[in-house]
Amino acid sequence: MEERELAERAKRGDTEAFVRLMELNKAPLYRTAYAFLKNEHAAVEALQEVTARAYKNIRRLKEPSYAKTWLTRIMINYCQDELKKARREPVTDLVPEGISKPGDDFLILEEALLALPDPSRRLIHLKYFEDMKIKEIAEIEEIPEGTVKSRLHKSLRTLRDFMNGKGGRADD
Amino acid sequence: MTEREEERLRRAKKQLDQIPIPEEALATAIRAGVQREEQERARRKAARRYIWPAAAVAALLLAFVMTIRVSPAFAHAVSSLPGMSPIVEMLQFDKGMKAIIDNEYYEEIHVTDSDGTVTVTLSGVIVDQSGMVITYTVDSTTEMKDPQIDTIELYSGNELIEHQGVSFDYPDEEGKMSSEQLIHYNFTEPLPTDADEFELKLSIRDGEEHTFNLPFTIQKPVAQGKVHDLNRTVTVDGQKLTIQSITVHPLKVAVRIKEDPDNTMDILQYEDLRIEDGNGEAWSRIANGMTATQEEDGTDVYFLQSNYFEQPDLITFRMNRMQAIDKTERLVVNTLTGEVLETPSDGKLEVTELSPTLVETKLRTGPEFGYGYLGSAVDADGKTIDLSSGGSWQIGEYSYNDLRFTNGDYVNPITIGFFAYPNYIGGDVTIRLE
Repeated sequence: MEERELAERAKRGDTEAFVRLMELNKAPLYRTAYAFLKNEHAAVEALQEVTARAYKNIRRLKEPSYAKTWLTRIMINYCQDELKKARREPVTDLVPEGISKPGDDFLILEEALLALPDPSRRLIHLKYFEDMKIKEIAEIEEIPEGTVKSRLHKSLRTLRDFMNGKGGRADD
Repeated sequence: MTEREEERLRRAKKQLDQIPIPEEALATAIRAGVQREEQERARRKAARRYIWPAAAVAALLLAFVMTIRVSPAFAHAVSSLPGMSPIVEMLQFDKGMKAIIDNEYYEEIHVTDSDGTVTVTLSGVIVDQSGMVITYTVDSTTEMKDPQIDTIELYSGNELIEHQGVSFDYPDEEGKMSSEQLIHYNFTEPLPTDADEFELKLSIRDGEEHTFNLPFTIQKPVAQGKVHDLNRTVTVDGQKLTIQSITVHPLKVAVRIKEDPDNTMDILQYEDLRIEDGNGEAWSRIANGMTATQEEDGTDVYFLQSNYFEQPDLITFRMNRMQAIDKTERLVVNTLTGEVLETPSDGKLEVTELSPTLVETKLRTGPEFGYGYLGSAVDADGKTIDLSSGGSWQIGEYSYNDLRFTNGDYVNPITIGFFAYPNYIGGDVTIRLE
């Protein structure tokens, strides 16, 4: 059964269809969670939370063919809320593991991404990690395409400034 | 210029694509997520929801009280009347309702309105000076997905009747409006006894809005409430209370009590407020629907089951046990930052969810508490925050209560008062009614 049909059935209250829809999207959703939370355990937990939220609100899914985009949006919202909470009450279980070693380029990039305001981080994530088109991002964020482009550009500049400052790349 | 950053992002994405996927853990997480939401659903279903008026603090109490014995023959006989099945359910918890049926004070009504898709039919009403109980059915030519009752307005002649609270059964989670529904509309001002022309305006939202106008006329005269003016002040555990009046209507007995503003404690609930006749038979608090309200001057009005039709020679008003909490104990939260700033010192209360439009809490009450315990919420400027709904439910040792706000348009932090709390004071108050 294709995704769209699963989503439609899920919307009508078919629990099995909903579970299969989640199964179909679990790897990309896990990657999204990992991109933000940088921790396997936290990312698995995120999928459980997002499953519960999506299941609760599945009737509000307007267009079944956009189920994946919709789920991604719920996931990003959840992750950004979690990061905010972690910032308020510093805990150690969100320490990056695996993906980067101290001092290397990726860790600097991670720090730079964490320093971005939430909306900018979302745009960067959707564009470069979810490979979404400007048009799709405009729809999901409910802002004009032109605004997406200018904000992306601005966010990239912020990233660069941050990395130049932090990473000691005074040469460019 | 920005190419280098884009390149780094792309490399990061490639790295992300290669992380191992914990297939099994994810499958388990999905099942657990679905299961958790299914439990939540069952829980939400158990909680009744109410429309709360902005002006008055409407109060509610869920049903954990003595069931009135109804013979199967009686239940069967009245159930066959139109609109009767929700009333039969109600009168199991309310002797006054049973007396209303026994005394044929219920009136059948046949009015229908349809917008082509959805049809609403009124089947009967009970009306006195204090309020109106309306039974109705909803039928739809197409399957309803998620029907919500949006507005309920009742007019007398051409005038909207002001209410202190309207309670109704929350439509099913699965979207079915069960066959017969019930609305309980509580009037702010006594209805004139000669009122006979009414109109119910009802709107149900199910994707689109369906609105209905249902005018109807009643034949039976509106029963005159019997007022006992008392103005008696009593002291319980150092707290002074004035019982101002007791008014007996067919639907309920309204007891007006004013607390002395100098008291050190707020009295939250009169657990065993009751009236008794000469044989010791008691009429206790109403357990279903609206159970109390507060007037603008701070006078509390409690509703008891009615003995209007019994007319005993001797009636006494009695109470022994109250829930009370020190005036310094409060719940203060900041819904923007998610911070819980103050909770009662006994540590029984916990905030479980916090957002600008939702405060959900958990209170260790023991298994048979049965009260929604949160009162109104006031913002940092002292303004009462508009509620869209509130609900309460119980799981094991804990009671839960949430407040949903219509919007986040208020100033943080906010203070939430208590409507009930598992802390008690006691005494013996007995007053004879003439």
